[in-house]
Amino acid sequence: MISDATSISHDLEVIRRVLSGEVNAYESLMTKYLKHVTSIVYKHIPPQEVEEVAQDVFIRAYRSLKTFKQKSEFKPWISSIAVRACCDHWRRVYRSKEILLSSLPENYRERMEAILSEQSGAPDDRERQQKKARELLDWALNQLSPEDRMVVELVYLEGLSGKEAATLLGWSVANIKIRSFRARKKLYRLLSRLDRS
Amino acid sequence: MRFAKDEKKKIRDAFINAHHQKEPVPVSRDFPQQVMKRIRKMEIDDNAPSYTIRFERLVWRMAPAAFCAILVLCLFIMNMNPTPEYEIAQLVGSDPITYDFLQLYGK
Repeated sequence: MISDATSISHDLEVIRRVLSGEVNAYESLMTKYLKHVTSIVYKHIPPQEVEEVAQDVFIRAYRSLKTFKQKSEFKPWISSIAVRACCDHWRRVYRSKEILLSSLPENYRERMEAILSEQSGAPDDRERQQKKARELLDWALNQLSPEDRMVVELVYLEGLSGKEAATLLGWSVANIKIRSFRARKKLYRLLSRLDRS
Repeated sequence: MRFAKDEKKKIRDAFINAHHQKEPVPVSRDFPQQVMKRIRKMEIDDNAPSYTIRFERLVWRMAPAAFCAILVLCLFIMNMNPTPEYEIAQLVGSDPITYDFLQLYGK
């Protein structure tokens, strides 16, 4: 608890220095939270784009440092910037239609059956099944809007509460709940269509 | 086809496992340096003077040339004849066609 308080006061001190014109002090803050930010980004973004989005997160944080409330903690603040940067990344991708490149996964029926039958064989098989599930999940997420995608990932897959997701995305709790419900329904509808075809 | 409750649970569990199975991606070693480089560049760009200031500077740079041009014009005007009527009368007198034309208008 004491170390937490020390860490927070240290962050505040660094922020004060950065705001007073000591730009280089920001590097220490970035090094401290680099792992935390990348751990958020890699969950939502394809591996090859993680670094670019993480850079974007730190630059956004630097630009908004003036709006940072000195009484709050830096970690949740930068986490929310990271989640919003991921959401913006998907918006950009959807706008440029790059998402259309993701085609229907091969042997999807087999994959769905494998998930539903829940075969737990050798570790190798399990790994292969997980990989297949990942591909199916990626395909299904690509069919959702960027906002729905983020809500599904945060609430449905990571198990965050509505309030936590709302804080990260900067939306109201009611909005999160409605979106989460609709997105989940859409996800199952997509999967059921796969199953039917 | 609609999924039964236990099927939904199986799908969810499989997806959660798949989601958490993702390997963390290590960023390049010079990541902080790259970001700091971008931030420093951004700082320089932000501190660059705005268009109005740049225009003002340009105007002041041209002030000596403008002053010289004004001085030359003043000297030229001072050397001109202060009574242009005489010159016009002279012109009309030496050109009868223009004189006739002006007569039509009663001048």
